Amino acid sequence: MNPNWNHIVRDQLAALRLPPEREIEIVEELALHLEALYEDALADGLSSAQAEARVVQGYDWRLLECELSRVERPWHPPARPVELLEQRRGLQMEGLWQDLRFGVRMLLKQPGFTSIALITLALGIGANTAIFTLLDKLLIRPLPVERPEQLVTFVEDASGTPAIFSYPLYSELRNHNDVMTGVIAYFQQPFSLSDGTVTERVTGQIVSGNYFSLLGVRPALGRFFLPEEDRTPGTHPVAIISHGLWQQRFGADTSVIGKLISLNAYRYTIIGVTPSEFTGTTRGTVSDVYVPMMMQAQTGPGRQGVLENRNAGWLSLIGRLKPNITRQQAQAALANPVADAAKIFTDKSGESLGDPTKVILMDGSRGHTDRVKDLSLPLRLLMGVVGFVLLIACANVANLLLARASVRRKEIAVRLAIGASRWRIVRQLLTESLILAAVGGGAGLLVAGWFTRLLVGIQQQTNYVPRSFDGGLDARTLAFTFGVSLLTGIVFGLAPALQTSKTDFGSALKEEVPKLNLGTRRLSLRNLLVVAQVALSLVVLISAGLFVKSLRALQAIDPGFEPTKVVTASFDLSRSGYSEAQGRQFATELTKRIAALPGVESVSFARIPAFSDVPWVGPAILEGVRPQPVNFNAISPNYFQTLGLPLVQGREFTLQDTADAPRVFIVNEAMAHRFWPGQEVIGQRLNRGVIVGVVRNSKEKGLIEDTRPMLYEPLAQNYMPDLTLHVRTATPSQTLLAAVRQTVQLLDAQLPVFNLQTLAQQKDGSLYIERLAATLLTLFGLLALSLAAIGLYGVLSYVVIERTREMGIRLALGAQPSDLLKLIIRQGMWLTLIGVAVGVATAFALTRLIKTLIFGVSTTDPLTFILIPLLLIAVALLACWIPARRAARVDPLVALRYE
Amino acid sequence: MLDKEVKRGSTEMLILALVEDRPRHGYEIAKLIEERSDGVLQFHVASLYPLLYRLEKRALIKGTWVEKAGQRRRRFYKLTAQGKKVLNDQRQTWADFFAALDRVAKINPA
Repeated sequence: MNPNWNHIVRDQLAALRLPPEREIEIVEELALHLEALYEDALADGLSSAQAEARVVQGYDWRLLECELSRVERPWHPPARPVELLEQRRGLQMEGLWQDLRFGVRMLLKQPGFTSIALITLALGIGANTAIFTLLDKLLIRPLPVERPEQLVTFVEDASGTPAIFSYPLYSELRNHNDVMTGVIAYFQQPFSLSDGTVTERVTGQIVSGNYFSLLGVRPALGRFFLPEEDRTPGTHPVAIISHGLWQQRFGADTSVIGKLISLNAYRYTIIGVTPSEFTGTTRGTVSDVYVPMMMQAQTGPGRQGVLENRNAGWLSLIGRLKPNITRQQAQAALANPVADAAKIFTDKSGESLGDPTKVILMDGSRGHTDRVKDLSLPLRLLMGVVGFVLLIACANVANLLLARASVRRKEIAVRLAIGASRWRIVRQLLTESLILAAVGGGAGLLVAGWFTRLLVGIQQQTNYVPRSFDGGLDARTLAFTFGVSLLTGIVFGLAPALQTSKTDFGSALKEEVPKLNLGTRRLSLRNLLVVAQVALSLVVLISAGLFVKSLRALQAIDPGFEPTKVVTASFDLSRSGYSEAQGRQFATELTKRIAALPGVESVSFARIPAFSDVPWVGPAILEGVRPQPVNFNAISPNYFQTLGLPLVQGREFTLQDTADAPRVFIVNEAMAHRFWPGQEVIGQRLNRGVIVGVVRNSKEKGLIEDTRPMLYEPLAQNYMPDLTLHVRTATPSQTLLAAVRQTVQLLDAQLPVFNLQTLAQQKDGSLYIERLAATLLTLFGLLALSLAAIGLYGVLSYVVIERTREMGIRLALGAQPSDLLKLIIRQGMWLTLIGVAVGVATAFALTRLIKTLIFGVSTTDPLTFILIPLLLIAVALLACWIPARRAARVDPLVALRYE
Repeated sequence: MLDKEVKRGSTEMLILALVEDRPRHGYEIAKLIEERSDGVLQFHVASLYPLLYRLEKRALIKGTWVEKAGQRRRRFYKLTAQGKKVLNDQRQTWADFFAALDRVAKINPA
């Protein structure tokens, strides 16, 4: 009896799980084939058993099942047999290696194409890496401490402004706390550091004894604080220095441990060095020295009794949650003790002036971030912009690849014709793209390194980025670059690879050039890429235009005084050990000497220089009115004359307004208007003193801010050791700056002088973020514009090459060269205009995101939205003109022989 | 890599060529390839039918069940217009390929 071939086939292919009607067909067809083979075997003289065995065992049923499945159920291929898999894996590895070698060869064969693609990618990837490095190091990365996710910061509001605590309140929170393993307190302040030779101003922290142990930081050298060093005030003058300071100031000398240094004129012994990655707990600043809390009185002269004062808020806090305690649970548990943590204004009589502020526990994994919150939006914006630039670069390289593919059509057609699968071709082309992206990423790292150093350099000048901020590339950056490069390679490589692998090999082999018109799919992909490039570059350019216009508007703001002819120099006398009497004498003597310098017209001191963001808010206490906070400044005589700020009424302070004389004040117009609207201001009483002058409003606190009520008091009646000298000269110059520094050093060679600059520079510094954003956006905008122009030029050049024959025919039939010129320009400008329309619409939608970052200009500023597209159209016209002119010069005879 | 591609590319062309004149069923196709190549080329069930189905999916051939009197029904495959175009292209490719090989390696005994 013949075998039941239907049964046999069905059994062998049981795992296929095909739809019943399809299964019937396949089983029937295969069974017929096997039956015929069985008949052949019988005809060869085999017995029926032998014939059956030959047929059944002669086939690789698992391979058949697998291959059928790939055809019939392409989305659910079965697991391949192990031996097949291994064999295939070997082939794949071999194939991959071949692809790589072949890819490298192909790229080396076309150095022009490869260079342009690599430069484009390096710029795109480099810009992304650089901005990511800053974003990561300043905003994203957690503190380099143990389990940073357990840390919480004590803040006032969602913006992360630290809530400030008195030392007694901190002790209470630390000692009676069931939800945290511990709480640390610290106060950030400047120190005058001297090792007996040079004195410099550094940033440091006064910290609680458990600071390093709670954070879980280990010393790079020496040790950290012991418990006994955090018990008794003034008994343990020990200091820990940062790794950066150890390297820069002490040449990484390991014998630095035990060395004596002077901090604010008090001697300390260095006991340890922090690890290089640890820079403190306030993001955006690097602390170079750490001293124990118990040395507070020695670090801040004039601040005696602060450790005992329950109402003196000065400390920032970070806690570590116990395991399994959430922030919300901790917040609830600490409600009562924290409610006492009021941010309190106190005047000298101890009168409480503020409302208690509810303290919020915030994620502390990145420490206190209030100093860098201003950078968050600009950096995120820049990240978006460089993302756009990278997309433009991708579109550009994709276009180059498509153009190159036209040259390779024949090669690909042959491979397809002789049996290469489409996937095989796609894989080969993608491998080439990934090689490009990888090399471009490598070059991008070099660009990023240079670019980051440039950015950090600019930012350090404005104090936004700490002195020893390391902008170098690390594992996270490398991982980011690798990821971006890989993604980039796929983004720009995939579409051209899919497109190219669909080559119509019939026409390719006959060397026919596909007719090009806007309707063909291949060109439409290229057109789409050009349109995308134009649109994206327009978005970047419009953003840049808005920022430039905003910067201009800011620079045009009249600060109310003349900053170009005023030089400033700051110093902190208390940190150099001056008593109040010595400080007053120093200021008097320095004023006299500076006034004697040639070209100096006027000299004055102020506690807070113009355009600085140093806050000094105090109470304005009027009879019968609830005290209200206003901005304070303490100034010496001639301050307004030095700034060039006119008095509206009354007089300036004079040398007669001494500490023993009746208290006097000067207010600005805003304050006069707020407290005494329509009344005579001169002679009004407040804060147990009398108003003697009204000065014109000015933008002392910053150009963007609304004019605030200002209250000025004489320095002589409220001595301040941290002072800024203001000097008005006929011609401020480097010579005068040097002369000021020299004069200060002649009086005290050890006194650090900082912020030695003109007020105009100070004003520029206050516009740092705006200038940085405008500069970078303009740079990226121009880069985007160049890439888009190159893209457009590339596409049209390709069109001209491909249509050369057609143009020859047109010319032969009587067309004028000018007709061809118009034809090409029309095609290019058509793409440009579509891109402009898309770009303008996108910019309309996106520029709303930067509303808070621009000043004095609408996010839909008509002029920007008209001029920038016009600029882009002009550049595009130029990009079209060159290939169009080439088309117009086609020689009909050459063209007809072309191809 | 090329070896594998050549093999697959050639088998496709062989099948298309065999169903160019008239429709044929799978067993007949396999037999003809073996016979006409003097046994140099052989087709097994495991590779023939998946390839037939693939060609059918690409609309290069079309399969139809045909039932003749007194016989069980069989599935016959015939060349489509698109298949014809592809076959001609492939023939040209192979001709170019062999011409190129000949120019280089003199494989045709003159």
